[in-house]
Amino acid sequence: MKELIGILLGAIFIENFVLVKFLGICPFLGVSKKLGTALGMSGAVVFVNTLSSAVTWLVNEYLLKPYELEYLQTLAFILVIAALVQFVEIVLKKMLPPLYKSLGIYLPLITTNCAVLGSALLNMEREYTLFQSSVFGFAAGLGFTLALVIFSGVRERLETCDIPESFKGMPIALVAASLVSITFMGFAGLVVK
Amino acid sequence: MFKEMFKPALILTLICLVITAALAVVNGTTKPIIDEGNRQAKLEALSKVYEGASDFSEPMDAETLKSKGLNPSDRIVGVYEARKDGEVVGYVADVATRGYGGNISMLVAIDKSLAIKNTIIVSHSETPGFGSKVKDGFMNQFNGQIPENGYNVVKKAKTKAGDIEAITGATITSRAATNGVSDAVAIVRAIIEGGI
Amino acid sequence: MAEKMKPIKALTNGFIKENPTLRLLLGMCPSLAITTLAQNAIGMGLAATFVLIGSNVVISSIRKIIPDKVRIPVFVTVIAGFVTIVQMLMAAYLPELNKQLGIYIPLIVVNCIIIARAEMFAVKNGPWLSALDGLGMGIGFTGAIFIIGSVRELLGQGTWMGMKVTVDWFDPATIMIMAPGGFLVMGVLIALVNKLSKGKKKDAEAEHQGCAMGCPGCEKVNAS
Repeated sequence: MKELIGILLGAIFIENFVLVKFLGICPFLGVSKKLGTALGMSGAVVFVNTLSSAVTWLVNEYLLKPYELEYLQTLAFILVIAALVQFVEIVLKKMLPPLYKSLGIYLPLITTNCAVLGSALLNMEREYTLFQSSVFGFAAGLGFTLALVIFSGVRERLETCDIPESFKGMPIALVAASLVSITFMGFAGLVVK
Repeated sequence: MFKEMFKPALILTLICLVITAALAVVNGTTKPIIDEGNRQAKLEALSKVYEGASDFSEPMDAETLKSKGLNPSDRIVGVYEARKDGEVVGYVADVATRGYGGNISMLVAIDKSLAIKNTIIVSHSETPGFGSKVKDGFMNQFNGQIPENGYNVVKKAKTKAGDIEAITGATITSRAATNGVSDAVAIVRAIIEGGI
Repeated sequence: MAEKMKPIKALTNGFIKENPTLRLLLGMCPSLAITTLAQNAIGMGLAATFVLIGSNVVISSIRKIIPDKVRIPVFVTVIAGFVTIVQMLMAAYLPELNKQLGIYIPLIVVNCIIIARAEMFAVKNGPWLSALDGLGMGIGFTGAIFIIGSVRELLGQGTWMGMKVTVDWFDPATIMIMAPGGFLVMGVLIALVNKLSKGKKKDAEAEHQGCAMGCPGCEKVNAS
């Protein structure tokens, strides 16, 4: 149990995927302008990430390891993720059309989200069990959500500020991100005994 | 409709197969080089940490140690026997402890009289200028006979045996390294006392 | 974008005008993560350039037989193939660099730059031009992250390419080589480039009509 809490706290706070590990930056900067879209994207990421952590673990355990095909890990994992995203798109389209509409182009974006492939690879590196991997994937998604939500709030405020021309848009967002990142450094000493 | 779906899927599968074949070829050529490189690096590190040993056994990993009735902590990756002229003269514990920025990997050389000969930090992700100092002599404090009451990280000057002076501004790193050494000592002691 | 592109233009496009990192804002993840040391940036840049050229050439060569429905999976498969080759070559011949770059090597697979160039260039142009485009973008990327890495290493550690460069009274700001420093340097650098190329932004926009990728630089995504 302790170990799971450690994994959760680690991925959400201490080693926040976006603000500390730099995974998931593209969507982080691209989607965080409004809180609504930020939440939508985050929800999708949490879902896909948890599933992908579990499925990639299974693929590695029962397909790659037994046949000594570990060098195909990168290829296999990214294909699994692409397939999962495709699958989620189809399911959403059929079962929750309004949600599908609002997520629109963000869904395929999840395939190239470093955080998803990153979680799967980290699971392998840290030699987590299936359960731990799924928890880690879930937690990574939550960390992503946290970063996105905080940041969209910051960006909405920035809209009303007087910003030098060259800094408008991405640059000021990055500077703001650096400040938010500093606050997350405060979690670094958190250890679950 | 089926044909519509069939052709793209077929082409995709074909492309996958071609790529997989290409990868298999590259893997075949590079894997032996990678494995040999790893083996060499390990041997170098072991010889460096346990001076005087002529060769080392295959590592006993956590599974093996448990099957012999021992109880290695989670930090123990494996234990090597250090041999000289065919006789076991000591052990090297391969330890992975969680520091501030990630795992700290170290090798702890302990001889049969339960004295720590040397420790090497193999890799770490600690903060440069702070925790990274763990590589600059901090570990020398552990060399020598193992204290009765174990190790204790202190921030001020040492007062008794077993006190380990922490790196300034890197208490977490210092504690992690100390825990790693303590676990290494525990497992090697169990091996020696158990006559394994 | 149906005009025939001149080879020299294909090559130099990626240097500044459409620099993938600083103007198109692609490939942010590795740009921020591994730029703690200038030499790491070079290593990553070279690896990414290799994959970029390789995948551009292959995808361009088979562009006529890629069914539109599965084009993204095909791109991804080809790119993953090259990334895996890079992984294996690095593990065998450059183990130190391999350790430094860690999981960011396999993550080259989802580096927006490579997929974006496949979608935007390789499927619409021949192999030779695509190779040049890959090379140009790769050089632009490597250049950009090299600058970021140099700044961070200099300010954060006082060294450059591993050599101590600063005087003793300069106490490095360690935060530069940690996460916040990465964001900060990147932000300032982009602002600088924006200032130096006022008015040129329109070109990049027009280029990306119809792209399904939605990377952060795209107005389409940012508008919603």
